[in-house]
Amino acid sequence: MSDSIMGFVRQLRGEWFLLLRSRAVWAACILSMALAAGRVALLRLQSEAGEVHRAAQGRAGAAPADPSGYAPFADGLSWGFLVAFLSLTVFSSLSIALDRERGTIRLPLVRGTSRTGLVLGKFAALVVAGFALLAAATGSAAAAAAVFYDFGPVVEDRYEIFSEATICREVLTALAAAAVTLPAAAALGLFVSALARSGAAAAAAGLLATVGFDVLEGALGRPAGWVFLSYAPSLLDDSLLKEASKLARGYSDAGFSAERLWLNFAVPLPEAAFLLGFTLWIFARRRM
Amino acid sequence: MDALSLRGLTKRYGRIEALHGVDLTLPRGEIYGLVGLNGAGKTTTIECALGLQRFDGGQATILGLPPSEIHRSGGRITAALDAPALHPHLTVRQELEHGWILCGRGGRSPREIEPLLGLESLASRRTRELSLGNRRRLSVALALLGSPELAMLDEPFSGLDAAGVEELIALVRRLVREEGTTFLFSSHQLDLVERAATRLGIIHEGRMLREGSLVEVLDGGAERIRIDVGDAARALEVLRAKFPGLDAARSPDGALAVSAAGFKAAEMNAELVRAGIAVSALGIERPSLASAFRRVTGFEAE
Repeated sequence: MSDSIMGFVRQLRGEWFLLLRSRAVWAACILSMALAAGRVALLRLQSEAGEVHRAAQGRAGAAPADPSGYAPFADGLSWGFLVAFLSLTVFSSLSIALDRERGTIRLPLVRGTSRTGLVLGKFAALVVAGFALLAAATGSAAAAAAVFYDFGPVVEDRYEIFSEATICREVLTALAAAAVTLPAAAALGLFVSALARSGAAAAAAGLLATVGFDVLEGALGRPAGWVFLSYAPSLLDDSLLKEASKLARGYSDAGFSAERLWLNFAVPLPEAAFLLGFTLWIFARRRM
Repeated sequence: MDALSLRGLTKRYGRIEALHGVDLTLPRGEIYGLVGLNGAGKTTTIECALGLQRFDGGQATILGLPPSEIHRSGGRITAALDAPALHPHLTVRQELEHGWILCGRGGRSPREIEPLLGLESLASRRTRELSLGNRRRLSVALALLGSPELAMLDEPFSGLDAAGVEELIALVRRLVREEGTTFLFSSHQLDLVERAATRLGIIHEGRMLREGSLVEVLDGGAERIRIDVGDAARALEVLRAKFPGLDAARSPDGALAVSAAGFKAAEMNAELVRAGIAVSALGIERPSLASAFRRVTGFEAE
């Protein structure tokens, strides 16, 4: 194996070693799982409260708010993924800047890891950690939905509006549509981190970029569709998960347009590569 | 091939020229002490050699590689730089394990390095709880994991207690003897550098003022013999007559100060006794790095 690849592998292992021993990473994992399951439980509570309210008004037997577990599952995912994405943004923003601040970035560079190998090692470890957070949130939301709901098709007046297979397919597509933005989120954090002078500044800038885009997205109009953040779960969620949740509640107008769906899958990975390329360029020129 | 070779290294920070054509040669298996005052350019020299910052002019090779390709050394180069760089949430053992992962998990392991630097009892302590001295020990331990061929230690004695200094010097000598490791350390603690180094460089205001073996740098290698005699003037005549070319002079306190280069103290003593001159004391004075440093840099502490 060449020196460069060996350096990358060592860096990846080293980053993974650090991430597994970080309380912040475990806290993010628990929080994303708790929020994912919590939202499902909250929706069940609201549903129960609604039924009690309807019974009190003499309208017992009306259709429940969530006829299938898929809608609360998608909503739970939305909250869990939001925490996972924000956490990943913070971790990746801190990644280089904090190591530079502490001086811990120097040891791998001196001991045989190239600057490229170091950035790619960090990126790979962060992406793996990000997917682990998404998996944890997904598992937690699925478990909570299985406890509180029955999974099945959307039926109204004995008429099946959406089959279970259709809903399943939409939810899985939404899950993939959110997940595909994750490498770009990690690359954005690393980009900010390579530019920043301190860990605190990097984390603040990373969060500001993510949340700021949420606020400005409406004003940007159609061009916003060319930014991967449009498709990542956020505070003002416009991701496909929100649409999948609507579809699982029987809304026939739910879903992305074909163009938006194409952009969702086509934009994030090239942007991740672009941001990573810029990060490497900056990192190669910085004093360590 | 030298372990490290710098030729005419220059480095500027804006208008400030930090290094003015620094030359440095570090043969393999040597212990090089780079000494200078704070801000002299020691750390900048090391960082440029390691490729951690770019230099503006000159040439550098480290184990035959340019600094920009140091990653091709396969972990044979190591360094402990400036302030100890540690992860505060890790324990001492975890920090060493992380360092060992980064150097490929070969050679000296964390469990092997811990007793060498007195870290066994601290293995389960978090690094943020360590004193500066123990952080320094850990930082050096991290650098010496694996099987480095060249170790560059920036101010390694800073913050260490007397026992720590002894352990470190003993370990460095052992690694040079048994594994042929080459060391470069920078320090402003001249007495400690003098004890450990076999080769010296004196850097001042970004210029390498003197470089060479320990003997060469310390007063051109000449030890001085101090001879206390009753009749110094006659003793001087006898010695000059018997040893042509002898560099000898009377010191202000009346004793003779003789350059030892090429001459033996015992022979001088015998000649003086033979000439009937009583010698009350005779001692060899080794020139100190501190005096050589003062002479070379012109620096006098207030």
